[in-house]
Amino acid sequence: MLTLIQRPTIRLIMVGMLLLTVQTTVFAEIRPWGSACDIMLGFSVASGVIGGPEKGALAGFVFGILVDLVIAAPFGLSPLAYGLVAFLVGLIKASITQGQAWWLTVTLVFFGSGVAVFAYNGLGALAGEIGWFRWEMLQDAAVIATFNAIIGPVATLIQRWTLVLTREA
Amino acid sequence: MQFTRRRVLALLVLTCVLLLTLDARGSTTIDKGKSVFAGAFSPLKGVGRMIATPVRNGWKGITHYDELERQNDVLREQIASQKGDSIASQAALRDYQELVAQLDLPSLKDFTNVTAQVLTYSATNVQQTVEINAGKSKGIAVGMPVVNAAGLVGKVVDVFENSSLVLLITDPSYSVTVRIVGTQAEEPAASDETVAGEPPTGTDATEPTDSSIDPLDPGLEPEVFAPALPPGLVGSEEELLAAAATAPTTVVTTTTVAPTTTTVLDFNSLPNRERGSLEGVGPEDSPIIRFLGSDNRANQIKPGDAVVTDGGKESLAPAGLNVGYVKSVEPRPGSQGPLVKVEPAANLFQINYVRVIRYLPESEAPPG
Repeated sequence: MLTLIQRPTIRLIMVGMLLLTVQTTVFAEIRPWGSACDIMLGFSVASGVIGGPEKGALAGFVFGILVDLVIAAPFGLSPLAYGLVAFLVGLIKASITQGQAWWLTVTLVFFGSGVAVFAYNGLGALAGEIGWFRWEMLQDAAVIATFNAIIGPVATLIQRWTLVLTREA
Repeated sequence: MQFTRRRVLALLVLTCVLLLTLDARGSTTIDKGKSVFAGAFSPLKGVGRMIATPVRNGWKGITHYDELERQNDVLREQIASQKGDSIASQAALRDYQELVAQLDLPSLKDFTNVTAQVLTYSATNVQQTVEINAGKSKGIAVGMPVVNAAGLVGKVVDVFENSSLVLLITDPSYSVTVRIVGTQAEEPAASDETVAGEPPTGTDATEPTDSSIDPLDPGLEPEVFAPALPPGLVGSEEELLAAAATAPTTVVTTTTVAPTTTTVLDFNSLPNRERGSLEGVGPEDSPIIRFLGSDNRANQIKPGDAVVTDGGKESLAPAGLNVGYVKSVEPRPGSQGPLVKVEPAANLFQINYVRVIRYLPESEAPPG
């Protein structure tokens, strides 16, 4: 049992379920300026920052699958958007530095989350969803990016445990 | 196996594209997976809701207190003004119920419904959905229309064992055929005639004068479902059922009256009805009606006109459900017809209880 819990994928599912609960209960109702925050995206991008592109893609994929299981959007869209952005953020981070400065985490999570909103809506529009690519997503992106940047440092700490990373990793 | 970055990226993209393709083709495996997950996730979500409620209430208390006070004042005013309307509409409703019972027309009472509570709103910004606590176990299926006490709320788009997702009418992917009932047009001209020694008209389905009695529905065209209902029907279906049951007694009573006064309405001066397609445009703006005719009748549409579902075999909802009222009419050049914005009757930002009407449109029926 203990060895099972030490697997990153199992931990990702466990943490993902808790985050999904928060997302679907708290953030479905609390909408700053009318936009819902996306904590699952924030943790996906934070995984890319702390764990690199591979771990980021894995976290984004798992969290995205969990999100798509509870919404009526095309299945596979969230893991694609979350995974791609987490992968890219991990790649950018690895090319800049191996260190973990808090301001870099905040910056990367902010921009990564903002890009992810456009990527998700754009991919949705490509998949045939009507009205997804609209002006209001600028506001959604701003709210989501700001919120995720605030929780970014905490999210990286949690994801360090989830992805079974050492301090040097 | 050692995963290089390129392989990870390729694996991610290919897996997601495969999932998207399977979902687009209506894979039952994905539907079953979602259903199983919804069941497993339900207890956790229940606990989450319990914990989240004080947080949510605190947030709303901080951010919406002034707005609540203002809304309270507005609502008090509205209640006062609606008391008078309610009496008038109840009289019209009674007339309508008698007609439906006498003519044996199919109506909304032919459909059973399921009452459900709204659990949560959509957790995303791209879809306007709510989750309700009724699912397959209560006979709910994808495509069924959902209403609340005020009017049409949306349609069921995803069903799990004990919960369902409802797409709101403000979502851009929602569309339903509607009819604008010209209640704001000039009052129809009427003349009173005294007919001595004859029973009152209105007891024979073949007589055209029957349909002219209902001021909200001058046409009464032969449709699959009963046409436009007076406002308030949706909220008082139980009353409708009770009243319809007593209708035959009313017929016997009226036929015994010898000299009577009948009201003959001028058919040509009755307000016209315009049909179109109601489409959502997102939470920030009111739904619009498209595909309206550009003829003279469209010019008669005025702000405040009632909008109800049109019904028909292909429609997502049976006829006669309240949708809302015309908010604005913007004329457009050419053959586009006017752009009509509709204010939904239901407050879609504060829905607590809804009713799912067990009406399954043909377009949503499972193949085979």
